[in-house]
Amino acid sequence: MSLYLPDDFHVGRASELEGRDRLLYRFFEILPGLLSWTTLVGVVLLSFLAPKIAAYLIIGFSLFWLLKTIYLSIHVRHNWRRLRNNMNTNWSDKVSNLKYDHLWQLVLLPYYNESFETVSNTVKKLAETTGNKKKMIVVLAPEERAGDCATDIASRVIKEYRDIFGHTLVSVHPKNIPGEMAGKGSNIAYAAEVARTEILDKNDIPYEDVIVSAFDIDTMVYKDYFLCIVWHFLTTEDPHHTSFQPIPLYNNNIWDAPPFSRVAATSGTFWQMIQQERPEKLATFSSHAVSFKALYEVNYWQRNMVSEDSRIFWNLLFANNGNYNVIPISYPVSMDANLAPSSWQTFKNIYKQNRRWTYGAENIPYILYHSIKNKKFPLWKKIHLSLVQIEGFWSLTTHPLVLFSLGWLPLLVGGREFSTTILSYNLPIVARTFLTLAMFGLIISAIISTSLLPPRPKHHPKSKYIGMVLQWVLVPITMIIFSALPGLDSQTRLMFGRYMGFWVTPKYVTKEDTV
Amino acid sequence: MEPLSRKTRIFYLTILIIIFVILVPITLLYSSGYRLGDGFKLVKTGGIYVGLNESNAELFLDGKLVKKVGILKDGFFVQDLTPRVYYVVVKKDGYRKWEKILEVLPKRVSETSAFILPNNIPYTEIIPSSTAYTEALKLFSTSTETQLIKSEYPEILATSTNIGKKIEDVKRKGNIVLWREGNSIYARWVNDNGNAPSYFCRENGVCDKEILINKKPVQFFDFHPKSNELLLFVINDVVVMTEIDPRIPRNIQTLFEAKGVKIRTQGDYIFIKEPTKAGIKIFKYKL
Repeated sequence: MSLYLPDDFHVGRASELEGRDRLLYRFFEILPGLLSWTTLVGVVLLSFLAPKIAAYLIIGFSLFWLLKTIYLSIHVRHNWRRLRNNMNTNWSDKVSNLKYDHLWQLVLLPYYNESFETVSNTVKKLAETTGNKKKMIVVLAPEERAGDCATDIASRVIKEYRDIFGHTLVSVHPKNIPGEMAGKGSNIAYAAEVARTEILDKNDIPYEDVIVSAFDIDTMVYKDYFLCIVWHFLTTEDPHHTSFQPIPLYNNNIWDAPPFSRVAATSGTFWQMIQQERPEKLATFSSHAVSFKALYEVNYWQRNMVSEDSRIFWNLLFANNGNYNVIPISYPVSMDANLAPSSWQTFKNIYKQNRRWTYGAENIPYILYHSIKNKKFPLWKKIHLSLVQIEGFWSLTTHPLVLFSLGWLPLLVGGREFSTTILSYNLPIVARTFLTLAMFGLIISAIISTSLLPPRPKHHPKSKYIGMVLQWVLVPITMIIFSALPGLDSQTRLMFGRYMGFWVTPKYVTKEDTV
Repeated sequence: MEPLSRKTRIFYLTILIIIFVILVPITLLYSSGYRLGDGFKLVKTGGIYVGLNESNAELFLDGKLVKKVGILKDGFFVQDLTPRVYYVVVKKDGYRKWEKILEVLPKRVSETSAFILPNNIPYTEIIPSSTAYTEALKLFSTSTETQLIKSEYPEILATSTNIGKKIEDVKRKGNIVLWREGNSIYARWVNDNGNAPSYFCRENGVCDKEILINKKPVQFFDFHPKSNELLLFVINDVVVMTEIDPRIPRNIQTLFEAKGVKIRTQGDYIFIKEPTKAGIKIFKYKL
């Protein structure tokens, strides 16, 4: 079947289109924010005008939240067992029965102003992985706008490790390329093309034999990562129509990060663990692997938008008319939790990073637009995927606010007629009971997160384990501050056409973390 | 190890949906005051809320202990009550009891605020030569903080019932106004009906009842420093604390008794001035 690659395939925002298409896309950009704001304003108005109905909805919603928590906890727990199982698997043995010598691992490591230590630590971890490193191509991709220092770091690191890997390359992403947004997407797309022309083509490496891992520069791979990818690649029915998604842990500096940063980071991990157990809802996120052939066919990652990590999945899905999926490999990669020299700066960085992640709502107009345009894509699948995405971004933004803040509004504004009802008195009692029961799920979170911790560095006392458990009481707060509010912020920006640029999360390396 | 199969997930989801469908109506009915009565019939119940000024107290309904509060709670909420009239008593060891007759209506909560005082109030006498004494004495040379100037109260009390009457000593705390008409003291709610205590409200929901507090001549009256539903009076050389709530019985507690006694409040404290042959004594007590 031919690929669906219209001229507007890589549309990033409404202003790149003309006429009715532009209006349609603009409407779809408004939709996520409109839904969220309508819900929140609706809850406020209902609290004033019909507090009884608002109270009924909130009680019902609290029960729904409890049951949803149970349902998702089942997913997390199963994935945790699968993750531990996969980490204890001897992947060398597992792939030994497969023929995989023809496969190449192309690793793209884009970065901006990160330190030598950050870049070097990441490449060191690549060098420590199992498997044939001579079948590995490592591309360091600094930004030209970061100056000579970034390029110099790449040269120094490559010089140190070039003998270990089959090929190494420094791809400096030029600044100010027309039509591009400065960010990870444009950088790795450029790096992939440079790798193709400079390494793959010159060494006659077939595109279908190359698996690309697009990492953040702080992504530390566990030793069997590439063998795990190889096994999944070779045992998947259609590897060129499949992306491979590891579980992002934020373990690199978790012992140094403050509690709210740890909770925000690990909550992100848990969400990915849940998604790993329901692959029909899974899109690629952050570090992921994909066939070079598939990438090349769609001209790599989009260069004109923020959420390139998830967009590449939607690109490939629509290009292949719905015949594309994500395989959750339940094997970890480790990245940095947010950490800055001060807690306040860390706090701000988490907010900004989550705002960037939740700006993934920019995929909704893309999905809806191409769902209408691509007639070869099965209708039921388009509807299902669209609803899943819309519901996901809507619930991310509205549920924490309704449950943990607006839910109490009828008590404050419901008036005397409502405030002297049994319902008014029972609203906080019943809702609090359900939410407290839901909080018991946090015990599972505490157990799982503690089991995933890296060894405690010597400069941290044993008592810090207590903080690692107690930190989970912060969840209601982090859900509002680092999930709902940045989600609402990003959706509102999209709604009003105040498009976001790519915000690079600063990487702060403590002295103890340096190699 | 395989991911959760679709079949397993659908199984869990179905179970949870069934639980949700069963629990939602039960929870909503329970929250609204419905309970299972005789013969598994749904009956409507009501509740009582009693606000408290003290911790570690006990609530009795019709003579039966129904609830104790610890140090963290500031009130009793009792539900599952059959709609009828209840005799409500609040007790605490070493304190005077508080009582009220309340009617419980279906699906509604009868609200009230109880105040309990120690049997023997531990007043502190302020040493006459101290600065605190001089400061306390100054309080008695001024009127109370809640007193309104005359230009303010026509707006507050501009209702037909007050036209032509001589209104004096108007005082306001929050949304409740007190005033003197002849020898009588009245109270009224002066904001929108939304947050008014129920005893100010008529059956049509309008909360404009003028509540008669006292008919006898009073030497002094003012609000309790921590509550606008409680009042302090000096009547016939007796300092008393009472409530605006007119539901019977109206609780009146004696605080102090002495000839020529005067009181003032400041912060959370009541200051009591007692003229004696030896001079003026001033006591204070944290309410």
